[in-house]
Amino acid sequence: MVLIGEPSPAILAPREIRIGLVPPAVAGVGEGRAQAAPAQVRGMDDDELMARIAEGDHTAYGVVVKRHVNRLIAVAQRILADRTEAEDVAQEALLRVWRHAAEWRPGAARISTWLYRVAVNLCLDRKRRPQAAPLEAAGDPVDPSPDAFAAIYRDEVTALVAKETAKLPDRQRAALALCYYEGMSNAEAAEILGVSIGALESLLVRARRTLAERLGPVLRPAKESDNAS
Amino acid sequence: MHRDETEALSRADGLLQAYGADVARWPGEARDWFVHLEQPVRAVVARHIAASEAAALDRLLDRVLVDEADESMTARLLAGAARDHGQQQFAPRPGVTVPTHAVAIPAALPDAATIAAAPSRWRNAAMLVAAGIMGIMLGWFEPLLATGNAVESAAAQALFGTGELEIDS
Repeated sequence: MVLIGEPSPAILAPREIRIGLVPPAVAGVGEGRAQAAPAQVRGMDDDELMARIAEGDHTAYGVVVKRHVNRLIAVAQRILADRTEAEDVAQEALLRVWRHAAEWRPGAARISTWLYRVAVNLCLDRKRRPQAAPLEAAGDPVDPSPDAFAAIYRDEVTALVAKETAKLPDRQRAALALCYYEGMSNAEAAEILGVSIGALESLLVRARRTLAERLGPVLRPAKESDNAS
Repeated sequence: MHRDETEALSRADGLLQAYGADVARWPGEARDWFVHLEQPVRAVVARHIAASEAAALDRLLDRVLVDEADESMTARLLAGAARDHGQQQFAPRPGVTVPTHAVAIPAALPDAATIAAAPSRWRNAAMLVAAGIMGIMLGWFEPLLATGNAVESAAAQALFGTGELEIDS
């Protein structure tokens, strides 16, 4: 098909001509395409999967989604501190796999590295936008039993850690999410963030140092109790 | 304290500051270094790691959990991809702006062989067009045929009279 309106050489260029009368597989998943068997696809490596996805194979795409969706959401949530936005980011990153599979260069990178790079960049872009003020949570009634106090203290400490982590600069938080929480190698995390390994380590050191300073009042009792035990 | 221990503790401190107290989270070469330390030195380093501020910080960081994605997320993504597929068939190259009044037309008309091989849709259309042309042609030639009949009738009348039968009484 050729899209014409105002005569434009770019639009009328031969590369833009797509022959076909009816777009296939719009209505149903897998319609009009050869779909690989799920068991067959699960054993494929990244390059084979991307080649299948480029051909419109929804089964192959499903395998990629299932492999990465959880970790993508986790990384995005740790950077954005917002579950809904994290899901949006994961969805956008995974849809880009579908849209750009044809541009995949075999052997150039791993899908996971590419995906996390996209997701981290989307997160950093979102953090640059003006943020809406969070709604104040309504206070829950307090259970006065000792166990309940301990539970409340634990919850408050956890909330404080989450809050202080969310206050870290974006790239420090991203480095912490990738290396500490997702257990990625420093080389992979550095590649995702587009920095050297030395720069990544510097981000991690600064993040942990800042957290240690800000969490001092709850960190020292934790350390003392560790030493006592 | 031996020089080996001092050097080992110094290196461990650098790793603790960046990667925390879980040796499993350290880079591969650092893990290998730790594993291959001589036993007395490794024990000193291990005690140092366990008592470090990094270990306490790790415990706090480990409290912050995130929920796993549910199945509906995967289903939504697959459905989104299915919808997206059709849009991409007609999408212009990135950077090319398509005016709002643009109309999509076929890039080329199909040739005769394609039409012959195509499903009955094309054949039906060709037959309709042929029938239409035949109708137009018949409509065009009918007055001429009628005129021809009139000429023949006039000639016969001149030769043979009115043509009406006269019955002798």
